[in-house]
Amino acid sequence: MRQCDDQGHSDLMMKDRTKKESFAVVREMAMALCKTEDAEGAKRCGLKYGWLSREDSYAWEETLDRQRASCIVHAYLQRVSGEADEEDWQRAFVLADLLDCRRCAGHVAQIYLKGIIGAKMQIEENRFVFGMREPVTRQELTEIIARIFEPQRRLTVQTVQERETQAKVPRELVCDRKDADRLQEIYAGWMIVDVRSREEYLRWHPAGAVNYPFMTLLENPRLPGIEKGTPVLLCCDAGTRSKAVAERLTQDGWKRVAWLGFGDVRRGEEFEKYL
Amino acid sequence: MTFEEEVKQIIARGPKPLDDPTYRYDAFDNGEVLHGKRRGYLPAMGWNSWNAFGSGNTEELTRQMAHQLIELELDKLGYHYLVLDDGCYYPERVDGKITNDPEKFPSGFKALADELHGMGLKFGMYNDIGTNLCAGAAVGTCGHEKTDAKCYAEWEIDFLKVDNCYYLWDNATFSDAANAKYVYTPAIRKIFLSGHDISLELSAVEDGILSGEGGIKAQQEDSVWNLGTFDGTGPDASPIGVRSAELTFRVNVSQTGKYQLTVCYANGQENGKGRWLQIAVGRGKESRLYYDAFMPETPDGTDFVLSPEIEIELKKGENLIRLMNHRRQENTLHSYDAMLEGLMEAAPDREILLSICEWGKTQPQNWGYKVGHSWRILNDITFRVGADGDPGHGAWTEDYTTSVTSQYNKCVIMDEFAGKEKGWNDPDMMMIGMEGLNETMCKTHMTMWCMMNAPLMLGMDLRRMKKGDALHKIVSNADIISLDQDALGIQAKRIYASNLEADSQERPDQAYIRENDRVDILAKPLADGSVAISFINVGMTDRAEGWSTDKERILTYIGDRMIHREAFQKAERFRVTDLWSGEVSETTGGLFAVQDLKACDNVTIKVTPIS
Repeated sequence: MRQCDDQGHSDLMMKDRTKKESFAVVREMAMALCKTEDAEGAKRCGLKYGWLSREDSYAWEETLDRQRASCIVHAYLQRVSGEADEEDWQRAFVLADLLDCRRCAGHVAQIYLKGIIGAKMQIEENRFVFGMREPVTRQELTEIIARIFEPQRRLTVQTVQERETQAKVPRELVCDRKDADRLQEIYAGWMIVDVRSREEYLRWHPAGAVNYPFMTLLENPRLPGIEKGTPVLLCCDAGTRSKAVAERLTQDGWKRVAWLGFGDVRRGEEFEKYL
Repeated sequence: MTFEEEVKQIIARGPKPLDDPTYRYDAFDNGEVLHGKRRGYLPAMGWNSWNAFGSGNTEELTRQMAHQLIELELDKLGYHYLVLDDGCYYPERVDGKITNDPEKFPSGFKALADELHGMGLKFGMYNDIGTNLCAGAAVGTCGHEKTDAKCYAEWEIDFLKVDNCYYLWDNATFSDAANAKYVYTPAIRKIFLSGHDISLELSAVEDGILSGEGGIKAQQEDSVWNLGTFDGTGPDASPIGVRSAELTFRVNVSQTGKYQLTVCYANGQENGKGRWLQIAVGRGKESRLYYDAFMPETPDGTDFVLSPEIEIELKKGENLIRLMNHRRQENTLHSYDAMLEGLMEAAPDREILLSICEWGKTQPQNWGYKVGHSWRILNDITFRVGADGDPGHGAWTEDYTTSVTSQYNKCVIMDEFAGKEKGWNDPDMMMIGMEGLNETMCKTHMTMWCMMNAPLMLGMDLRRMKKGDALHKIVSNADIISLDQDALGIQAKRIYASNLEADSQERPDQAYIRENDRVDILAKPLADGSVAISFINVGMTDRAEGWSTDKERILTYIGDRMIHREAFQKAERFRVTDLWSGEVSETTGGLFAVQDLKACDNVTIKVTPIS
């Protein structure tokens, strides 16, 4: 795992995780939101206006974790600030652990998308870990509170990009000849479509590939039963036909399309990059 | 003992052993229920607190909902169950027992149950097969089933929804892939078999045969992996067919007797590679399990090592040796079974419905009927639940499970898993009355759930509904409700989907279609010999075309499940009742058609043969 405190889209990493006193407890967040030194007053106020739950009040002196902080802040924005939700919460699906807490998922998504609490770690391109159960430090708490009240201090976060850009250029992939039979494994979760003719397909095809000859797809760019968001890998010998189909599908609103040529396996040519 | 110590102890003991073949994968399709589970129920109807109030429900709010159910006369239509979802218990056990949150439910659950029963309603509660409830309270039933069942019996509950958070043997879905160790086998390279006159070395890639779905032969690594059950929590995979993979070998021996099997394997800690292996010989009733445990630890996940010798018995002639891991399904079945057993012991005479809520994760369509009265098919229908003063948000279409159509698209092809003798597919609580769904969407949502024999659990703050207003008309349409509650108890079949080509090899009742830009036609046989037909515009654009279906197509798909098939087949004239407009007409010839379906709208008719 690569830590991403240098990416500008995550919170500051905790300075010292061993020092327990540097972590905030639930009470401190309530007091900061109420801008009061009166702990009992903050509790009463939070419960009355519904941004603290009964469970929060039971956990009053417990370390505040990021998922609980998100739930409290979101309830505060809804009930006190009156700030509207981000409509498309699914853009927060860049967070790999978003659904770890089902009760919190909707709240964490909002607080992440609003740039109030960022991701803890980056695990791959456009994929992050929010750190649901990670404790919030006092320093982080101060920043979170500031971002609630001063929107200019909010973070710019990465979101699921496919949802924002409709048409993208289809991706070109390369494949080593010895890997032609492992496409299914390498591109797990992709639908592999062989766009060569029925005859070519029957002679040989990559394991797991289905056959939709390219003329059919150019005329009618749809794959029965398959949603346009499904990742589709198109392939043929040289990459010419699959590229044409990839462009056609992309024009038609398919969002995750890639193509590759796997070379003329029948002639036994050494396959490098067929472009 | 503290809670943490107790959890450690449970983990050290591991999942229950499978000494009893009743709980094994090979027994899933034997049709037998466990502990005398009561059968013959129609889908439950009522109100559940989650979508309306999240974990913020209180006794007072519940009481108000009960009064509203009566005030709106919804109880008279069958909405009887009032179910308290998460957020009503004290956050930890008190003297080993679950108890009420004294602030939110000050009168206690028995008093609330009495009050509801006094109003002619039924009382439902919530728990979890893990150590904690989803909202965090450390009062999950895991290891406490008998104690908790006694509490539920004392409180006189009528319904129990049981969730799947903090489950110790299977949380691989989400972010911590290391948890896959319980639910996938290690990667397998070879097996060695010796005994009597043979000594065989068999390669997993070359000699092994993959059965089921999803197994991967990795040529380059010279091994086979992804042997386990698909996770069905998300919307990606179809629920139809075998949802797990096995690696099998066909072995011929000349003598019946004991043989030694050694496996060359590498443990993993990622989705698709784990540590738990099951070895069986034979399939179905005849099968015998010889190994069912973790494989010994290996220093490094990528190192292949040899297992100790495992003794198996083979018969003269051909034998089928299976390497597999069905524990994802078996463990979960075991856990729900323990709760059912507790309830049947503690309250043998009380009818308590068990609502399985493991989110479709372990493909409960294969085993849920043994222990439960309904089973959720996916993760939640919304993660934007409401609170007192906030109606929450629902969607018609979203990529994940969080929309009416995500749930419908999967449930609509699951009809053959459901029935009065089994239980019901549960596409989650209804979102009627939440923000984000207009009146047309709510109407079609109601139609879908009723045609699919789903439990009808209202999920809105009922104070936002007035008698006779648009929402009330939708949820109180007795004709539509009667489809859900029809005595025959058969879920509708999809007999047509407009985006399947006419010459497609895929059948409309089995194809998992997630592209919503389409019109579906569903047909449902009814107890009086009629057929209900729904024309549903699943997409978000108006469709001006006409849509039709005929007697022959209906008979092809549901003829075998109709009770007066011949009368329907021979009838020349039919009475057609539009169940939303109330219009009645007659038709001859057996063609049923509609014109102009607005976005997300439906036309639902009841077709009765006139003799």
